[in-house]
Amino acid sequence: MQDERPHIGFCHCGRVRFELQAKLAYAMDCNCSLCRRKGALWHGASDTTLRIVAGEQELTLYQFGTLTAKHYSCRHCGVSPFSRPRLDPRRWAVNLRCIEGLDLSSLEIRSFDGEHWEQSARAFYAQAK
Amino acid sequence: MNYKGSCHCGRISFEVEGSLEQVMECNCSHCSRKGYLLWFTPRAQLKLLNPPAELATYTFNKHVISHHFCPKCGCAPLGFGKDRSGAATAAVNVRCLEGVDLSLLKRVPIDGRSF
Repeated sequence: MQDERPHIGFCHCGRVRFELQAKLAYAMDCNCSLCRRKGALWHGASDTTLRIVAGEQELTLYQFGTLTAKHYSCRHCGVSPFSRPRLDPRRWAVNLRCIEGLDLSSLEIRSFDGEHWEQSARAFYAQAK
Repeated sequence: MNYKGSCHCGRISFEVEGSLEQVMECNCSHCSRKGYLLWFTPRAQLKLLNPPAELATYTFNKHVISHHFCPKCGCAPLGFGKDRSGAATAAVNVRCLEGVDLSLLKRVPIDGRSF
């Protein structure tokens, strides 16, 4: 939907800013040990639909486990605006909590059982085919 | 009851003593971004197990609350401030506590966005 204006997103201190081209109707709520702590509400994006506008140099990278995913957060305010997700590290997962003016209660929340990642990932990939 | 809490990488860890009955879910620009589910408790009930220097700190607006996060993994397990009477208070993000079923907690909505 290139005719729609992109959504504007930023961390809390405003150093990290991005634009997301997407129709935002749902978010993924993952219960893995990291996402549970961050309370992130994720939405998939590509290198085309997510554009990091500012602050890339202010990001801290965190990896754990298989070191597949790349989790970024602002080193000044600690907010986590996006990750390269383990489900598909060529893509992005954008934390919709950072989108300006978005009513989070309007989103359909889709649960992902990241606590049992392998099993859930198999189901996710099968559905995506 | 004694709860154990930590960031993801374990650099920040703590214990907190008390009765977790409800949490505050605030929609302000900061709480909402961090997905905070906060349990407020007297500061003395919380024992920090790591050196305080391990905590990264973010403050904003009136700069009266120290919002701590882990500089390595980015998790934000707690904040320190004072209540209206001036008593030292800890705000624990219960997402970072072990053995707490988030779906069973009573969430009290706070309209911080309108403050």
